[in-house]
Amino acid sequence: MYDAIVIGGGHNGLACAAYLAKAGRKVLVLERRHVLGGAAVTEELYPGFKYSTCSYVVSLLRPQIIRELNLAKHGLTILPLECSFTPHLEGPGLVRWPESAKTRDEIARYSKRDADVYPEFGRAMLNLARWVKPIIDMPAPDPTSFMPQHLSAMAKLAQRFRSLSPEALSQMTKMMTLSAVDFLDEWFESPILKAPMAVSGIIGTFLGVRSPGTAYVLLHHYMGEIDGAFRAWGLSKGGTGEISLAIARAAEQLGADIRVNAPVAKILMKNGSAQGVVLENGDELKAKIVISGCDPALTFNGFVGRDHLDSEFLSHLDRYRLRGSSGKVNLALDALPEFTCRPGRGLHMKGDIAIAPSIDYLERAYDDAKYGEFSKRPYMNVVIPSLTDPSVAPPGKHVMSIFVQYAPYHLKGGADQWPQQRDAFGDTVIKTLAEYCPDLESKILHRHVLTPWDLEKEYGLTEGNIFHGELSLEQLFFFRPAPGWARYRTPIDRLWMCGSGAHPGGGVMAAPGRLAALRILKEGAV
Amino acid sequence: MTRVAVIGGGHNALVAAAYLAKSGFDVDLLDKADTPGGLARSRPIAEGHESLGTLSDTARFRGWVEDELELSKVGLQRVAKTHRLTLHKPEAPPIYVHGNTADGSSAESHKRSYQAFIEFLTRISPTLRTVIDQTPLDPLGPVMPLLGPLLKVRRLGAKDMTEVMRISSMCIADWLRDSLEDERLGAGLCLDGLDGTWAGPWSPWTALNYLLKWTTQGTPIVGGAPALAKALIERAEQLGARLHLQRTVTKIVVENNVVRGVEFENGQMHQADIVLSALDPKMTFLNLVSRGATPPSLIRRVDNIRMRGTTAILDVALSGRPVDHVGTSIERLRNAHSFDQIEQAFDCSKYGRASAHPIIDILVMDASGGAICPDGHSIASVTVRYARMLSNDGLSEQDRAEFKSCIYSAIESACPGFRKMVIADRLQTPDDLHRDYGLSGGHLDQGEMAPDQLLFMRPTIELSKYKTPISGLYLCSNGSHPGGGLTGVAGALAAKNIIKNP
Ligand SMILES: Cc1cc2nc3c(=O)[nH]c(=O)nc-3n(C[C@H](O)[C@H](O)[C@H](O)COP(=O)(O)OP(=O)(O)OC[C@H]3O[C@@H](n4cnc5c(N)ncnc54)[C@H](O)[C@@H]3O)c2cc1C
Repeated sequence: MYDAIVIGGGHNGLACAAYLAKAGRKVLVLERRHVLGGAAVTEELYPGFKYSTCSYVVSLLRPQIIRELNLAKHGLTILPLECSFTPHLEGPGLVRWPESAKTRDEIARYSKRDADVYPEFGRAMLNLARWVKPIIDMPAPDPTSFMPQHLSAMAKLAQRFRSLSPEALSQMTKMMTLSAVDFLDEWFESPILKAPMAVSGIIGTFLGVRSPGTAYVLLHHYMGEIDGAFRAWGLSKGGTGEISLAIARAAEQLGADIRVNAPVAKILMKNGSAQGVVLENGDELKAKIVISGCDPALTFNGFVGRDHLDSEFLSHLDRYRLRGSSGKVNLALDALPEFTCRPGRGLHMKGDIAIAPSIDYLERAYDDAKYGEFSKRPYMNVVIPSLTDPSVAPPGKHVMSIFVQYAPYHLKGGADQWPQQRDAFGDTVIKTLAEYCPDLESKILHRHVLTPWDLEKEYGLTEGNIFHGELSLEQLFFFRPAPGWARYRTPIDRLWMCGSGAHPGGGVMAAPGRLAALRILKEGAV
Repeated sequence: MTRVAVIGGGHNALVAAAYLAKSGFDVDLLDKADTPGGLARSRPIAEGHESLGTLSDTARFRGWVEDELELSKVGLQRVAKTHRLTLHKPEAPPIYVHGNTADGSSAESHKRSYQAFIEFLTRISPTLRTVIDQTPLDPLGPVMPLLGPLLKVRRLGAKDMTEVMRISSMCIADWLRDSLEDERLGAGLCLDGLDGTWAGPWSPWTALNYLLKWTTQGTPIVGGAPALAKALIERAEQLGARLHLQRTVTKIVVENNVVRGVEFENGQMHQADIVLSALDPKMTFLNLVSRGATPPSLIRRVDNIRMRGTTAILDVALSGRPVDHVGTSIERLRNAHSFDQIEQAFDCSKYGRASAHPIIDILVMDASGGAICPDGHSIASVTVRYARMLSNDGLSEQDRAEFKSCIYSAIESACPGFRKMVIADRLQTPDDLHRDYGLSGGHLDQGEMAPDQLLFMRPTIELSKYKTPISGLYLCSNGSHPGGGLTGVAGALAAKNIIKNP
């Protein structure tokens, strides 16, 4: 009999298993698909081309995890991805380079003032990021509890908060509550600079760049750490799946068992307590505790069953917002396309490429989604990983990853319209991108389109939400996934959570998996 | 005696003047208009017909201000019950919201969810009110004063406290969809959460604004805003404050970081030991105080205060009493019936246009309710969302006419026969509000109601206690805590701060 069964071989489930195994516990991971990684996965969907099918860039992968699990030894290499290119239909577009002097010249083309302010903005953000970061590495306290551990954690938070200067507190409040556009308006004047900066605020949310609360995510750009140094984004060598596989190798070496093609049907319940799991093939597996790495909706509505939950928890569950808003198009390319506004196939294509020509463009894309349609002219974040990591495509050929927003799960005619809309969605994406690089279409060897519907059906992400639930304030920290249940425990005895639906939330950071394991060990659950 | 010059003649200025005069200060109130009252004052629409005030909602004027100033001595009275709110939807029976009941929406479960919603709000109100009705605490200041309110909040109990924390950052649409089973009811009520914001119902943090408004409301004043203005003027004068009209202050005179008085258009100087500005913070710091007298960091923060007005007011004199589409007479009516409908109207604001399908909120009063109009006639004050924002090139006559005709078709579809009763009207767009009342951005609340512009951040972190870095200069407009509406709180709290340390 196992000490713990982890449902789902996503990177968080694997990280949780690795930490438990490291502490000498006997752990089994059960993954439904034939590959490990969940949304952090590499798949060779076309011979010779390795797609990072879902997640395509990393920034927040916790450095302690790389260290503690020795991931470098298990094959993990993160390659920095440093420039950011915003092509335009007219004019030369904008590239933000790693070298500040070059970035300065680029921005100065549009506004000299902004060029001067840009480095100052970066420093201010770094300061704020330093302040926020510890929060993602601590379990969330319960503000309503009078227990000493919670009180002291709250007091520590309050103390931290009070150590800010008035200037910083003012910035912080704005950062946490403003829209990305309003926040940037306080610093910059050029919409050409503001648009690509604002988009980081909307990734994975059902909000627009003008919606309050989106400024906060801008910080993420400055919270990224690669090898302990602050850096924006990176690619995992061999595709994002290598992160999950490195964690899996570490876990296995520490003694964990991992099975693929092992879909869980139910959590085995007895007297309101989890006893193990039932697989879809009917096999029953028992364990002292069960840990779910799947999202809260799938976990409770799917595996546990509503009968076992009280009405208060159910009402929290029903209010938990998942509504996915993004899709993905992956391409295998015969050769590199060329962007009209910056001829040549130079360094500017090596970073991320944002189709974000103006604030209004982004806002209009959101308006379509609000009323139940995919954006007619979507925001896109394009990365060509093969330029940085040639191992993911045959020599001379390329992989292109296109993250697309908005693709609302709930279409006007219902979510089940997606299968019929998939091709139209893919066409819209290619057509819009081809406006910037007209030779794109002629270079496509293979196209793979993921709608939120596909993310749900294939990757087990309810309503296609890439983060297991919106990262909005009312669903973060001590509210994630439900008030009173933010510390990886659930209302079901012996059932724990360790996926992105737990604090601190989604993205390839492995923090929920690690924190859950540490919590489980600390509470002596196994 | 300490001489105080109050700039502006709106309700906050009057409240402050009355408090100060009562405490023995020598108070001069300087208003550029020819009648005092600011946004609360009535303006003639037609012969014998006076408007209900630019801000017409009096239900949030605080009872404690009324009591402390003994406004009953000058005849101020509250109506017994809140106005009945009619929620209109084309081709559907209206919903009538009256205090704590909502009738007309059929299902029993709808009524139950509304009851539970009201019960929750009623439970949390006293706690929220104590936080709202005091000078904002400085979270970076001494710990002791912070503990009281903190304990109060915790005394709400785990469930309600968590709920308040959780709700605050939400979109009003999400919250009301969760709480009320009937979306029509939610859409109709949610307008309160949008007051003073630059947001639609799908914008986060609008739920907080709704909480702030709901928890501080009482019953309206008989005769509405004009009656309130009248009472405040009378009371302030009774207590010894002097009102000066048609006095446009062009400068706040500061020497060595100490305020000396104010200067008028004609260059004349009015000396004072204390200057209390009831103008919005942008007007005060960017136009009246000379640049050199304020630190640049403060100027930058004041400049960044968001004041994008998108609300217009239409005053109408009517030859009868309007009715809804089933023939019931109207006290207050809204045509909002779905969140998307409101959101779509707001979308126009984002692109700098006026909504072609505006959301209207009509308040109707006749002579029996205290309005100034002949018997049998009535006055309507229509709050219109979303108007075009203030722009440099101004609003063309054609745009104005088009917007007005859109407003009238929205009204007509909710109140058949309305147009035929119109004797005269006046539309005040953000452009007009900016020109007539000196409101920056044409914003009625002198600063958007957003979480970074509330409490210790309103209007900016260093100005939140009504004091300024300039010795003797104080602020008391709605641009200060607690923000929009005819509440009297900013005026009262500013005055109390002056009285405490003159
Ligand atoms: C299109 C897309 C793009 C993204 N881009 C980025 C990015 O660039 N950067 C970034 O940081 N983040 C990105 N993300 C988010 C990030 O990938 C996820 O938040 C993260 O990978 C989630 O990890 P997890 O381990 O918590 O959950 P998951 O990866 O969802 O793991 C859950 C696992 O459970 C398995 N499972 C489901 N049902 C069962 C069952 N019945 N039995 C057994 N197993 C089951 C699933 O197959 C899956 O493997 C993206 C996500 C998507 C979808």
